[in-house]
Amino acid sequence: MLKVENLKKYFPVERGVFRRVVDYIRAVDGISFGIRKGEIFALVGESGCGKTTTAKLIVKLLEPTDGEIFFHGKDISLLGRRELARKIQIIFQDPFASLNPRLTIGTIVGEAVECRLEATGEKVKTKEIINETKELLNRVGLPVNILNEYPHQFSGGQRQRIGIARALAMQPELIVADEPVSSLDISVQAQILNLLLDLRDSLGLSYLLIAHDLNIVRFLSDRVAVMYQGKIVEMGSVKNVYKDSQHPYTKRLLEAIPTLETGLIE
Amino acid sequence: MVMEKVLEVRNLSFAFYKGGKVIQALRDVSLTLKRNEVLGIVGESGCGKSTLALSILKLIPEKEGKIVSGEILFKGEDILRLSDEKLLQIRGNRISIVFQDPFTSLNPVFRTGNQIAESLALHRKENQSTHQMEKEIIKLLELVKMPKPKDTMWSYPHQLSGGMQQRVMIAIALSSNPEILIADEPTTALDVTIQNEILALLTELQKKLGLSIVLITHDFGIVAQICQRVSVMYAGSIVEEASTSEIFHNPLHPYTKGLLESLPSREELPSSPQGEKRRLKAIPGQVPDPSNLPSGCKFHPRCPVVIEDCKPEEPKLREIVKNHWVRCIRVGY
Repeated sequence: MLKVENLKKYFPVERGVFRRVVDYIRAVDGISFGIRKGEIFALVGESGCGKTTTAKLIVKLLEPTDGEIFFHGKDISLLGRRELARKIQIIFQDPFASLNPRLTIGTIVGEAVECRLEATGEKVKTKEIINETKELLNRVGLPVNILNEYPHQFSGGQRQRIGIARALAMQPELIVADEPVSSLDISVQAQILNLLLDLRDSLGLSYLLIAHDLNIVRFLSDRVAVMYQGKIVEMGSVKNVYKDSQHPYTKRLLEAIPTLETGLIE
Repeated sequence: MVMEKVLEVRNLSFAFYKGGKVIQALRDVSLTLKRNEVLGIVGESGCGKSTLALSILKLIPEKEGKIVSGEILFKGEDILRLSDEKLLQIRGNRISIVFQDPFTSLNPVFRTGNQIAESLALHRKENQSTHQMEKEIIKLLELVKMPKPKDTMWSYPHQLSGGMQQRVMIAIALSSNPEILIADEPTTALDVTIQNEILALLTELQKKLGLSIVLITHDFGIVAQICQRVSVMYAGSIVEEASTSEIFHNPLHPYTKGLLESLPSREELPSSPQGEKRRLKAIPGQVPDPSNLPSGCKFHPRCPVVIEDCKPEEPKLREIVKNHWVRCIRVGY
C-alpha cells in the first residue's frame, strides 16, 4: 500500500552572516520500506535517529531531499495536501500541543468532517457534520455531549482520543502514529493501545507506528524497522527481530529495555 | 543484621493552595529508607511522588503549599523542626537531589565546572585554592564516569548530550558527600541505552559510596532493575509497599495488579500478525483530579473488586504478609 524508496532528508547546517551552508545533517539517509494493508509497521530507534522526520515526510509536512513515496502506486509528491490528507492521517505525540486550545472539540473534529464532506462536491449540511462528529467521538470512546467543551477540560488520554477522532474524520487508510502513548500515564496507555487495535480491526486501517518503547512495539506491531542515525539497520517481523536480532545495535537496544522478567534482582 | 534507618517519613500530609482551593497532594505517607538501600517510589503522574521528593527537602515555597502534619526524621532528627540554618546543613549537603530534566536544571550560561565548583564551595567549609578545586571537580567527574573529564569541565551544558548532562547533575549532587540521594525520574528524559548507563552508574555509586537512594519513577522496569523495596503511590497516598520481588510476584493491591497487567510484557509475542485478537488489560477510567478526589478508597471508581464498604472510608495501610503493606480492605480477609 505504502512504499518508501531510498528516502532522504538532509537539513542544512548554516554558519555566519551569509548563512553559508557548511554541512548537512542527514536526518533520514536513504531508507526504503513498505506497509501492507491492515498492517501495523513500526519504526523504532532512539531520539535523533530520524523516525519522526520520516513520519513528517510521509504526511508531507516536510519535503524530501531525495527519494520517493508511493501510496497505492501513486507518487505522493504529485498529490495535493488535501488529497493526501484523505488517505494518510497523523496522530501526534503530545495531545496537549496538538489540539488548538481556543477551539471547541466540536470544531476540532467537525472541521475535519466538513473538509471531507466538501470534497465530495455536494452541499454540506451542518446537521450531517454534527451527527458524524458525534459518531466519531463515540467510536473513540468519548461521550458525545462534549462538542462545546475545550481541550483543557480533558485529560491526556482523552485528548489523545480526540486527536484520533480528528484523524479518523478524514476516513484515511493509513494512520501515522508518532509516539501516540509516550506522554500518557501507564494505566491510560493500555486503553489507547487497545483502541488503536480495535480501530484497525473494525475499519481495516494500517498504521505506521513511530515509537521508542520496544515493549509497546512488540505488543502492537506486525513488522518493525530499527533506525539508527538516519538509516534502517534491521527490518523484519516482530518475532524475528526480537527473538533473533542480527544487527549489534538492535541487540544493544533490546538488552537495554528494563523488563520485569530479566531485571529483577533477588 | 538490623539495618540503620537513615530517613523516616511518618504520616506526612501535604497540601497545595491554589486559587482558594486546597489540594491534598500527599495524604498520610510513611516510608523508611535504610542505609545502603535503593527504595523505589512508583506511581503515575499526579500521584504525588515528586511532591514527596520536594517536601522531604522542604523545597516547596510555603506560599504554594504546606506540610499539614507528619514528621520527616533524618537519622532520628525531625527535619521539619529545624531552623533554616540547620536545614541548610542537611539539604543539598547530606541529602542531595537529582531532577528529571538535566537540561533545565543546569544553568546554561555557566561552564559545567563552575557549577560543580559552586556546589563544592557551598558545602565544604574550608577555602580551597583554584588548583585544588579543579582537582576535586575532575575527581567528581571521574566518579560519575564522564569521558574526558578535563574537557567537560570547560564545556557549557548545551555542548553535552542528555546523558552527560545527567552525569554532571549527579556529580553536583555528590559534591557534598551526601548520605542520601533522592533521584526524581533521573532517566525519563533519556534514551533507553543511556538510561541503562545512568542506572548502572547509580547502582555502582550506591555500593561504592554507601549511599541510600530514593528513586522516583513511573517505570516498573527500572524498579525491577535497581530497587530493593518499592512503594506504590496512587492519588497522594501509598497503596502498597513491599520488597521488589514480592511486588512483582505477589502484588496484592488491585491498582498494583492492574498496572502490572497493563504493561506489554516480554513474553506476549503475537503469534499471527493478522486478524488475531491481542489486547492489553487496561485499567478503566483515569487518574483522579487531585482537587476532586473520590471518597473512601481513592481507587474505588476504577477498581475491579470494589464493594460498598470501599466507598465511605479510606482504608488504612496494613501489613498483610511480613514486610508487605497494603491499603485495601479487600485483601487479607
